[in-house]
Amino acid sequence: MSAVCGGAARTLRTPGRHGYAAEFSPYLPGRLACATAQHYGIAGCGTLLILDPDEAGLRLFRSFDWNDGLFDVTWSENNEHVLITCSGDGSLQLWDTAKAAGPLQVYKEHTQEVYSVDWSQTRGEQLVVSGSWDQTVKLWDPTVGKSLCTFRGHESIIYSTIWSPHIPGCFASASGDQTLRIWDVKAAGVRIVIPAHQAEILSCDWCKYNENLLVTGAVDCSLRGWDLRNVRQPVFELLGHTYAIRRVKFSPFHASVLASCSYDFTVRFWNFSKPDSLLETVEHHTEFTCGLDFSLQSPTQVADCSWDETIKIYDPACLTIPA
Amino acid sequence: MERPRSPRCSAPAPASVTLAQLLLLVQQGQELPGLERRHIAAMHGEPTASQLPRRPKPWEAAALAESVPPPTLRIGTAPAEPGLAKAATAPSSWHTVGS
Repeated sequence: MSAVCGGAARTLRTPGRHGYAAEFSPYLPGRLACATAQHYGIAGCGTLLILDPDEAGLRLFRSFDWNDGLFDVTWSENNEHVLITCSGDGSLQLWDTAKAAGPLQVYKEHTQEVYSVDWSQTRGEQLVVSGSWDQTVKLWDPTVGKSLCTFRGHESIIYSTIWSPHIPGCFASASGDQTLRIWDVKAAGVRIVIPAHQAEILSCDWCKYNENLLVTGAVDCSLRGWDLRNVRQPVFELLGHTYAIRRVKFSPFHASVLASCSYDFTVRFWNFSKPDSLLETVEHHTEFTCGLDFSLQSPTQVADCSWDETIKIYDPACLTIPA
Repeated sequence: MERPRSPRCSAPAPASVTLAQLLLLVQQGQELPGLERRHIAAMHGEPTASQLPRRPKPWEAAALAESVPPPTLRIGTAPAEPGLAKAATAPSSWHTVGS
């Protein structure tokens, strides 16, 4: 691994590893976790990388190998050392960054690839959801070896599962069955089914400043906003990507700003409240760009990772210049 | 992890074949270069104890009308948790369509 500081972006090269997901630590400023897979996730092993910023760019703090490709990662919300990954062999892994080796625990219940994992954001709950190609969502308490609950209903691969940042026990899922679904853990079932696109939906996220608002990103190259009080039509549609949208996230700092990354190699920044919604198109990758995250500490900092074997941390101009 | 990296256009190297090259090898049933097979198992240990308090999310801080101090001032000295956000439940106005 070699760190390069080229232009405005800090870059870490990850030879032989293709980036799937990047997540900033909720505790340590600048610390980033990246879930990667060998051979684009098609075959071979996977590696969880923990990065810290330094004067030269990015420094690899730890790397943990797993038997199969790692597709997503989430940090614990009650322990700065702990994170959970999910992988192509149907398992979840719990890691401790204070230890040189791992994983501490493995949770194997899904019968196919696990593509998404997310740690609950609301206080008083420490729950994890996972979404799989086996068309199920599983709910986990990481201190318990078995899942607490399995949610069925999606009719295709589940690509994304994300907790509401406001409503305890509520999460969203996005699927190849072209629906966005909202689930209630307490009711152990689905609350809302939204036929959000006429294409596979690869990603979804919740607005951090409006508990009713979500965004979906799909293979039809569009982003759509959904107000859960009236889901008959989207409240916004953002067009510009030229291939499938792989991941979308709302800003933790700006109510109407979001970022998306795509198989068109670009990362785009949007403000859906403006007539000209596209703020900026970042073209610094040469392959599918799959992982994306906003810093929770810096209002201007973003990380992404790509199948071009690089991880980048940067401050896009549109976030550094006041709109 | 420290294998040599070759330019994309050169002969196949142990790693870093292009996606197109890899898909072709899979379709042809050929062995994939540099394929790493691991046999890692869970260590069944307990996580290291947490020493840092949970930091409020930016939207929680905004909701409490707090200004967010520069992050460098807060390393390891995060303030105690502010009051718990009001308990929320899924609004009854949410309803599904088409089913």
